[in-house]
Amino acid sequence: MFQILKNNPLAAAIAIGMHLVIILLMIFGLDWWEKPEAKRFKANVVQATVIDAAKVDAEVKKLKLADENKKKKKINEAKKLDDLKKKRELEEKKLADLKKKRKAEEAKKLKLEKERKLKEAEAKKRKAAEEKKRKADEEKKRKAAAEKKRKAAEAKKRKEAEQRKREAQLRAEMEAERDATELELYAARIQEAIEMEWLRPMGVGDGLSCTLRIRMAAGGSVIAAQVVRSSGSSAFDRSAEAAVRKADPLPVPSGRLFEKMRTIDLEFAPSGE
Amino acid sequence: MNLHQAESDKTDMRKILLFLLLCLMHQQAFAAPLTIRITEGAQGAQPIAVVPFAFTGGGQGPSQDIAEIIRADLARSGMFRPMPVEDMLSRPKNEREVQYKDWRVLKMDNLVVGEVQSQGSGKYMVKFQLFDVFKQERLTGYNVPTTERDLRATAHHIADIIYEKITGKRGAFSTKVAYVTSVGTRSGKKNIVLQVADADGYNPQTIVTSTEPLMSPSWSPDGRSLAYVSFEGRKSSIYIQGVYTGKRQKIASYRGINGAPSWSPDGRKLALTLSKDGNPDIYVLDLQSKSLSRLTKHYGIDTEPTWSPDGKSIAFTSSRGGQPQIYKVPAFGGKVQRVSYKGKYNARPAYSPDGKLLAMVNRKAGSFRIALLDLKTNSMRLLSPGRLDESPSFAPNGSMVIYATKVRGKGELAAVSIDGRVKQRLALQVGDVREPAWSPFSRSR
Repeated sequence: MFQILKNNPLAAAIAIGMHLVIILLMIFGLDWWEKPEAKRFKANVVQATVIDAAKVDAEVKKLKLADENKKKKKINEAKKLDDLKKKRELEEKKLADLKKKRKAEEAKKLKLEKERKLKEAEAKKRKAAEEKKRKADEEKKRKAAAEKKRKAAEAKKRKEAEQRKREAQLRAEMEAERDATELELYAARIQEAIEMEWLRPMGVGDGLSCTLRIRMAAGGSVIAAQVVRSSGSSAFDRSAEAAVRKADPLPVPSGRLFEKMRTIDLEFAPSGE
Repeated sequence: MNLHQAESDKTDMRKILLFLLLCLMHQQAFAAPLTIRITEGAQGAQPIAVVPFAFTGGGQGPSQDIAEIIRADLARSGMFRPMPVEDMLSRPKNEREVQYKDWRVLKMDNLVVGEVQSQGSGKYMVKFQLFDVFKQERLTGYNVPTTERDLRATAHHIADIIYEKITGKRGAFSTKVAYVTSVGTRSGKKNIVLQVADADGYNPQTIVTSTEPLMSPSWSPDGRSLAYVSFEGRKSSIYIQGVYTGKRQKIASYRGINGAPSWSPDGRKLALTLSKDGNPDIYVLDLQSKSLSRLTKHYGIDTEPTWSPDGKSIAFTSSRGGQPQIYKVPAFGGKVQRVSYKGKYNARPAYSPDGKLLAMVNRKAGSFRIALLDLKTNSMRLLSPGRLDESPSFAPNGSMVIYATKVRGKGELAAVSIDGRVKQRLALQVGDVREPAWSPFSRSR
């Protein structure tokens, strides 16, 4: 800003000058407004100079009378004034009393008002508390109802779940039973298939037994056959293994049921002949 | 992630895997798999394919068909059913050439392949291998050096190995059979010859030749000596002769009958039939001390003693009941007990090597047949077809019984598997053959 002023000294000077002029105008302008009132006072003075002598006597007499009257009046007036004064004092007193009274009344009123307000506040408070309580109760009630509802729903759900479970159990049992029957069927078929192929060397196997664990792929092809309990006779064990290999693939079910017999144990125990 | 963390993560992972594995194992241990009992398999001859052995190397090739000898041995035992060569889809000679599926479709459990390599001047290397077709696994295999002269012995040896591998019992194809035969001579007279041949009847070797009867050959337990009865000088005597040395020794030449020698299992004694004290009774001769003890004393005929394999008792034929039946007596003397009850004629007892069976000659409706008595159950079954079968003798592994039979009035040797299923005449014996005795296992093992 300063830099700007420095750079434009003329403009700055003009601006300052203008400002000064405006300020002065503002001051003196106010003065111009007061002057016409002073002129009105001069006009009144000019009117008082136009009076005749007769009229002055009359006027003096009149004035004397007037003065006497005035004196009388003045006494009267003083008396009156005194009365008035007294009256006024009385009135003032009255007024003061009134005022006092009013003040007391006002204080009383204020007090009442205060009390009322207090009462009101209290009432409001009470009401709020009541409201709060009511709301709380309501909330509680609502909550209790919700809880009740929830519990009922839960119980229902539990009951349903139990029912479902029972049903599932029953179904599983039935399924297991059906599976067992089917497994038995396939076990019998496997037994038959292997027995068809089991040819052990003469005189080998009387009183012997061995157990093979076999693992099958879907479709019953034998992936692995392992002697898990040997008979002690390699010839006997070998005849059992050969029987399994010759019967490969074994008759197996498909799907879920197959999973139950993917791995099976085969106990080779010739019945006495 | 720095290396250390990576490492520790890896260990964690391993721990988790281990845990899972343990869980799995735990589960498996508790979830026992379905068990199926297989009870009704058959007992019988095992299918086996013995591919003709290929000959490699220069020269004429071996005079013997080794594979054929093996096939015949295995078939005769009754334990095997060798496949006819013409049914074979391929003829591999070694493991590399074996296509398992060729044999699997034929349901051949067992496969033998081999080759004979000439090594010049009558020497050969016989290579063979035995495979489990269904397991696709080699069970055994050997390279056996041999000569032209021993080719049959080598074949029997291989048959023994195969037999043992598959049945779990020792093969008896390399054993011998002693028998008596009478051969007509150019002069019109008959020579009686005691011979020893391979168990299949081949390679007969003469042990003794006589113009008088020879009878009742009995093998010593070590298979090196034979005891027999000779009527040299028109009088019965008992001799012991070394099979390989030819050295012989007269053991008993009492007044009357000297007959039916039988070696004790420990090889120290001979049981005999002697009539020096009147009628034939059973005696035991201690070979070391030459002391003689009498086991039976009865007015009936007691003869054909044979030792039980445990050496505790001696079974024999006796007519004390009016008809010939089998009895037994404790080897050191004691009460005689009757053993055979079925039929009116039972004679010539022979114990099986395990002592559980007693083979004998049973006569029924004029037919003499070999019968087997189960000593535990007392059940008896007929083994040979008859009509004139005699002298049963067990193979040392108990799988077969050899006996003498008459074909068109001429004695021959025959063998029957213990189940009676396979009966076979042993070929090539010359003359009228009688009284076979199967040797024990050779001690070479």
